[in-house]
Amino acid sequence: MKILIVEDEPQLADSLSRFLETEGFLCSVARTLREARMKLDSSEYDLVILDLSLPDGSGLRLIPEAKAVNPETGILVLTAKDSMEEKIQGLDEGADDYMTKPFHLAELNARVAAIMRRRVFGGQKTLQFNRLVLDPSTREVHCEGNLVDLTKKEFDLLLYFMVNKKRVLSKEAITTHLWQDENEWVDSFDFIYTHIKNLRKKIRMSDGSDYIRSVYGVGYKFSDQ
Amino acid sequence: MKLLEKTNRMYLALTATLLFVVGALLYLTLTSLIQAELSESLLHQVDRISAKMEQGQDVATSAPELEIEAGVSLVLTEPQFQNVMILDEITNELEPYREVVVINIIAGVSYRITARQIRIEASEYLGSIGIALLLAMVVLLAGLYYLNQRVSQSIWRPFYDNLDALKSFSLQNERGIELQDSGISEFTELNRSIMELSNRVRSDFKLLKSFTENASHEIQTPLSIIQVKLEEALQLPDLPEHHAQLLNEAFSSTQRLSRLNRSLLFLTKIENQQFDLSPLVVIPAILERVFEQYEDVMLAKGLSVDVVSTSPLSLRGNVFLIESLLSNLIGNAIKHNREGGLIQISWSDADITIANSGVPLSVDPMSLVERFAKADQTSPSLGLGLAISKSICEVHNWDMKYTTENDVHSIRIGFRL
Repeated sequence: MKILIVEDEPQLADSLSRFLETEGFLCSVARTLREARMKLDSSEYDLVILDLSLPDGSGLRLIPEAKAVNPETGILVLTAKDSMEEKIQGLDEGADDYMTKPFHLAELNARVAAIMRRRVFGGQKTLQFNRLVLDPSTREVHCEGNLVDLTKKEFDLLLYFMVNKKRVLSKEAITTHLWQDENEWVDSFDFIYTHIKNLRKKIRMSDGSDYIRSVYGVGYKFSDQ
Repeated sequence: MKLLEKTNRMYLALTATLLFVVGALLYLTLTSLIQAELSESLLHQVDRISAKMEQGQDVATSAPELEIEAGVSLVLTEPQFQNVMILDEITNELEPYREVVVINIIAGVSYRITARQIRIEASEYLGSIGIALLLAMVVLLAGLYYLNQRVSQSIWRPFYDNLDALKSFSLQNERGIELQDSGISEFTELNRSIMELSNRVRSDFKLLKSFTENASHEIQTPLSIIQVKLEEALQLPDLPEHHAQLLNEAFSSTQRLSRLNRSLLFLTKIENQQFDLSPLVVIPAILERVFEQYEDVMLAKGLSVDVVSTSPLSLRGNVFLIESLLSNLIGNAIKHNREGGLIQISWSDADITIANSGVPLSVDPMSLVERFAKADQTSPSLGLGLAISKSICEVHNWDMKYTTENDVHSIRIGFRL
């Protein structure tokens, strides 16, 4: 699957494409609106990650153009300007999701995965990890056919872990994901500790194994090794 | 003291003095005129009597108006005038008289003719002059009162209206001051100066705001790069544990910085009134959403929620801001609660109160509403949550009060100030 990264900051574009390539995507980088238009004309993309403040104009203008070329193209808007108007405008133009800088790569990954699940026909609709099967559309988790009863937050947490498996996730990234960072108070991490403890217990009870590993001083990792 | 009152007082003092002087002059001129007239009329009377006597007619005298004495040895070349007091035998009172004494030689006999006429007493003059002047004063006062009413209604009206406009002037308000033109040159000049001043202040403030906003935006990009690079580094395979810890500490601080930046940007935006405050927002629905968001955390902490009110509550405001506000306050009520504590929410048409159990505060609760204020200096919190809440209340024109009573903390938001 192909992703076009439209980002004028080379350092950021490099990290983004390197990261998404490890996830198995083919990435192409455009630094200006002009370059992005050329790339959209010459090739089909499943997803465009779009920075709004580009040297030759607002990235908002690219949204209808990309949709005109291929209506199935997913668009994830990325910007330092987290003004409500721009967000609404972007979503009105047809963007699928919106992220403000600075962001976590793991969060970006979760958003990209969500768009891909919704957008791509015949794409994998469920996520699987060993015997655990998670269905984002019904918000249910099964282990060998048995329903694992999770709370809303525990489900979100597991989905986040499964999308970002085998990756070290910082407590901050997890907190931000679960509470959207709207509030300043999310800095207290005992909240996620409780969720992780409960989720761990429930997985162990149904699956028999503990996939959530603590990475000392950093955070957690979802892995079977 | 009002300007009008002050000028009025001076005006009244001047008028009173003037009236007094006029009264005194009036009295002096009047008394001397009437006395001269009286003297003349007495002389005429004496002349008429002398003429009758020369013709040999009988003259009836009646004291005290006319007394004639014959064969006096006194010689007077000039008529002698004087004011005398004579006892009235009927009323038994002393009456003031003007008298003239003339010595006339008629048919070889020297006569002393004394003519008298009642004169008006000084106190009577003064009384009538006083009454007239007092009347003038009353009329003047009434006129002045009427004039003041008119003046303050017409001439001063634009001034007071403009004063009200000035009082309600706020830099937060996008619209500038709107001043009325009075057609009075002093006021027009004042208006012009005020307009210039307010425009200058507003443009400076705007510049400062856009600077803050731009600076925050510019900071986001390098912050993003640092954060992404650190995150990448953290994923490096075979990263020694203590390296990971070092990277994570740097990562955490970057997070904190970025959260700080975002909170400040949010504050600036609220203060810049970049939110539409006109929609009708249903509060219980928002509360439900907020509580759903915190459901698990509250369960983990064993908190119970007591929603006292059941009445519907809708407010004019911005849904996003109100949700932020309630989420912030309820988040605080959870965070600063004790295990197994209580959160109580009640509202009416005029206010909403969120109360929670916690630890007693050692500082004034309202001081925690200031930016960067924290009860516990070691807490990792930025100390902006309540400042943001307060700003949200302020743009909605609500009043936020934070009080504590022993271990109960409550925040009350009053909707009508």
